[in-house]
Amino acid sequence: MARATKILRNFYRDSVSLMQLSSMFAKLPGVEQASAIMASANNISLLKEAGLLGGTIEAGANDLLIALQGQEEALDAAMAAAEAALNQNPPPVTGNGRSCGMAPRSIEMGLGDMVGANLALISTPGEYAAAEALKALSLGLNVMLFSDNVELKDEIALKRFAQARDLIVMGPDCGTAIINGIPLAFANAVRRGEIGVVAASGTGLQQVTCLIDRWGKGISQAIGTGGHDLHRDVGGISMLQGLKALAVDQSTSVIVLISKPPSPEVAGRVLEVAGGVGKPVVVNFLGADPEGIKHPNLFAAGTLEDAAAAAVALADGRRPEEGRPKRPPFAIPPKLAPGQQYLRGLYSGGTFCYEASLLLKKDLGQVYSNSPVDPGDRLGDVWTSRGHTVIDLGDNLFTRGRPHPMIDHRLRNERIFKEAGDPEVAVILLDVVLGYGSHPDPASEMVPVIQKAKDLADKAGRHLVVVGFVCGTSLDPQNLSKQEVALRDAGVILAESNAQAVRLAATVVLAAAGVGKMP
Amino acid sequence: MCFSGVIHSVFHHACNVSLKSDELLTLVSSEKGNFPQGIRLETSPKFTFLNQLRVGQPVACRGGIIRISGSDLSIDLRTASHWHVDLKGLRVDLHQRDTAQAWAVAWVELGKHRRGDGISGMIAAIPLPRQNPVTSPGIKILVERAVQTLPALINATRNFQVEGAITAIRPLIGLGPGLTPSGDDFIVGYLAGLWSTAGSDSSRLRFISTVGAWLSQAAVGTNAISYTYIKSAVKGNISEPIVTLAQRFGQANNMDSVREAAGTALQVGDTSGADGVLGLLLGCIAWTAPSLFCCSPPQPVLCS
Repeated sequence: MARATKILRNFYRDSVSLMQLSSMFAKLPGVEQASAIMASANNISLLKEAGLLGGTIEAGANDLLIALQGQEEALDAAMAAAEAALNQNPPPVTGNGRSCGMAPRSIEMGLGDMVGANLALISTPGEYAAAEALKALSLGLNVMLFSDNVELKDEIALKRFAQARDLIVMGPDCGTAIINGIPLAFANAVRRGEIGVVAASGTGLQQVTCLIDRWGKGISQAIGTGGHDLHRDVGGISMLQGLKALAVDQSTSVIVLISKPPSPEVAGRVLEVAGGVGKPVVVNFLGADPEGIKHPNLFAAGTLEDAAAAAVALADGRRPEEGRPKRPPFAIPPKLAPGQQYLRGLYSGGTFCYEASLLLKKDLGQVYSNSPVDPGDRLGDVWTSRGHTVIDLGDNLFTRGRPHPMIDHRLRNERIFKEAGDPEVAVILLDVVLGYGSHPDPASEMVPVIQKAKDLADKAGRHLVVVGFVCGTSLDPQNLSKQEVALRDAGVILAESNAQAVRLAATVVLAAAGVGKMP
Repeated sequence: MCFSGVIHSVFHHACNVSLKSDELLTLVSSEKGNFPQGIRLETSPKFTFLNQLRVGQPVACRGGIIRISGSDLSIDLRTASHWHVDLKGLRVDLHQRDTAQAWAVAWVELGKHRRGDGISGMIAAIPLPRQNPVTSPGIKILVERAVQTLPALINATRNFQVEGAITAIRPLIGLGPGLTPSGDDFIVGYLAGLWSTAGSDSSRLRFISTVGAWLSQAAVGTNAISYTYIKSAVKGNISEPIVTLAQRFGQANNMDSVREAAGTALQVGDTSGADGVLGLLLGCIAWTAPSLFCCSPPQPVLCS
């Protein structure tokens, strides 16, 4: 006969509710004995004597203890039914007799509504976020800190506090995570599978998880850490916590680590731990030297796409390089007008922008940006492009007082039209990010302006090439295929990933300059 | 009046506020009886705390007005009347024929109350109501413990043996089903019985004081809500349904009023009412009835 116990901390239900719970147990098949009782020392002793408990029970008199005995296969369902019954408040009644709910106004209230919750998602203005995160951690909750503008000293303090309690702080400025199959904040609906991801980059995490889904594999957990986690002073605490969690997670067989360039000493520590987890780990530290990653379990990936491909190959039991994607066929655009020579990347995703800078620098030389690879390539006036330029429109400079460009396309649309009017522009490079939190139909916002931009160039005797990619899955609420069809119909050349789109765009520019050939 | 706290727990008709002094204050709707450490509100029939308050909301009382952060509910205490019954002044004496008869009426009502798996299930005259053994697997053991413990408690009380009483009470703390565990409800009722019969007898008062001092410490072994009730009971402050029943023993010329009071007290909670009434009845006989248990293991029968 199997036994199961559940302890609900500081949990109070009136005696009648507890009695009703006992009555419910009596009707459940496969349950021989059951009790829902306050976990005082005398009651624990009582249940031990009754044969319902064995071993040590770590509970106090203010905790509710549910103890079941019966057929093993019946106990999980019985416990779930008990929790559901206990969490179901009797419907409150308003003065006019209608039922109404009351939204929780604090983390503690929320926890009262959802006993057993183990994660709090905090999205308050930055100045309040650290205090709320500390409250959540003190209540034993892991934290996803969506808020930005949290001071580094607070981030360090929160992460150390969490680490001491075996909890994790995802963030601050953590825009993406997928926990137990549930997309949190800006995340995509991906199938579940055996690849776990820990990322200090939101759109990096989205790109890798979407490509893994597109190539037939799934995600066990995708843990965001916030962009500062691999800063020297933070020490990669959350990435190490995430790595530790995935190392022992039985549903994870391959791990992917993603970050913009980390501090060298932190990278060294993370790689040392990653090498010892006993599972293959694909590492994409954008811009880092792959030669620095030398361990039989570690596989360096130069791009987000390479990281996803390597993870898929490893999950299939193949070598990581066997998963490298093939370049798709590319329709040759009409000849560009003389003087059309520059690329303008207008990104909503910061990591996409950074990756584009890295890849374009190799092919095109100097690329200006508001988040440049080299400080010397910083764009002086972010509102005006020069030469080859890639812009992260999600940067704080652009989002003050307005929504993120994944939600509100107006700023980018204005910039697309502005770039189209520049006779030196040959290619506009765009990302389109789908998933929860993003605009419900981005193509409907982008297509009219892209058509207008192309018309403007046509009337001036030029041909404007627009290259892009859609970061999304067929499960996303925006309908991936509908978005792709609409963009293609508007003349956008779509690649499968950011890396492919960047390379295509670079090829167009090089071909126009007579340096390279169109594929 | 000035205090601060947070909402500790919320039910349909009651809500506990955890004060910074670590004490609990209970808000109850008007249909409930008065409570020690309680504030009874004038509420409409459809009122429920569940759509007014949530655990964790800060509470502050300043200038006699309680305000709750994030809630429209505020409570004006400035005109509230104070409820208090001096149990010691009841001087219930079961040597008095009418009082003993009233006690017996209440005992019969308890026997007829066929509900609950608490300590009151020890009364052999009450067939246990369980249809299925799943409901409370510990009830048999609970009753066995009560059967062993309660006669010892009464005998120790009768003989003013503090150590014996403590030994008997200790296993009851936090014992049994219910939000306020059955053993705690019994203890509160038992203390009500002792206070009701103590009068000005210095030995009795000293016994209550000594055992009460120990109990105030030992009751940390139960949950915060129950702990508050026990601490209040140690000081002679008990909830209204039990107090009313004890009062009726002292005015026992109308047995219907005794039945009515017993019925009201028995309806509290699932097991709490019956356990509290059992405690009151046994507490009343410790010092004022010549003999209780005629045989061992006890079939609790009153020997007149």
